[in-house]
Amino acid sequence: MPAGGANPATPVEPTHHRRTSLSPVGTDAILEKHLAAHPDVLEQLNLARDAAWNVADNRLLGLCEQRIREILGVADSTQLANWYADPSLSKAEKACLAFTEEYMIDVANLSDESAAAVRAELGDQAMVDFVSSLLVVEQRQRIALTWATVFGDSK
Amino acid sequence: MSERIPRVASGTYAAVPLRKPLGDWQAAVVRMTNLDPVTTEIIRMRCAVYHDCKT
Repeated sequence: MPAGGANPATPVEPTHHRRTSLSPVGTDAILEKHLAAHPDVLEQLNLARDAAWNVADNRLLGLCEQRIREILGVADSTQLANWYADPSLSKAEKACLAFTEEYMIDVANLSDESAAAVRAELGDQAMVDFVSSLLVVEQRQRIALTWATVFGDSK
Repeated sequence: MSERIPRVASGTYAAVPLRKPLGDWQAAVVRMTNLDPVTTEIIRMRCAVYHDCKT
C-alpha cells in the first residue's frame, strides 16, 4: 500500500456505500477459484498482472489501484478520496489519479484534458504502458468483485 | 460523432512484455465456449459501446 496518499482529512464514507473489503490476496483467490477449470485463462490473466507491475511505475500503479479499490468500494480505507488536496502527491501522480477516476466512471468519455495531462507528465510510451497496466489492474478488481457478489464468495 | 484526436503518437504501443500477455489473455477468453454465441455477441456489443472501442 503506498503511504504517500494517506490523508487524515479524508472523510468517512457513508455506511450505505461500504462493502466488505476485498484484499489483493482475496482478489487473487477469487480469480483462482473460479478459473480453476480454465487454467489457460487464469495463466494468461496472471501473466498480464505480472507484466503490468513489471512495466508500470509501481508507486504510480499502486496509488491508482488503491483509488480503483476505493471507487469500487472494496478498499479497507479511503486514503485517496481527497488526493487532489494532498501536497505529498506529485503532479504526475495527481494527473494519473484524475485519469483513473474518469477511466473508472466513464471510460468512453474520458476527457482529452485528462489524457493530455498524463501524456505531459509521462510521455507517450510510459502513458501507454500505464493505461494498459491500469486496464489489467482494473479488470482483476472488477471481475473478482462481480464473482464475489454473484456467487457470494467470502471476501 | 466528432472526430477523435490522437492522444499519443501514432505507432506507440504497450511494451511487448505487457502487450503479449494482454493479447494472449483476450485470445484465451475468446476461445472459451461455455456461453452460447448469441449471449456472447450481445455482451460483446455492449462492451464495445461501453468502451467506445469500435470492435
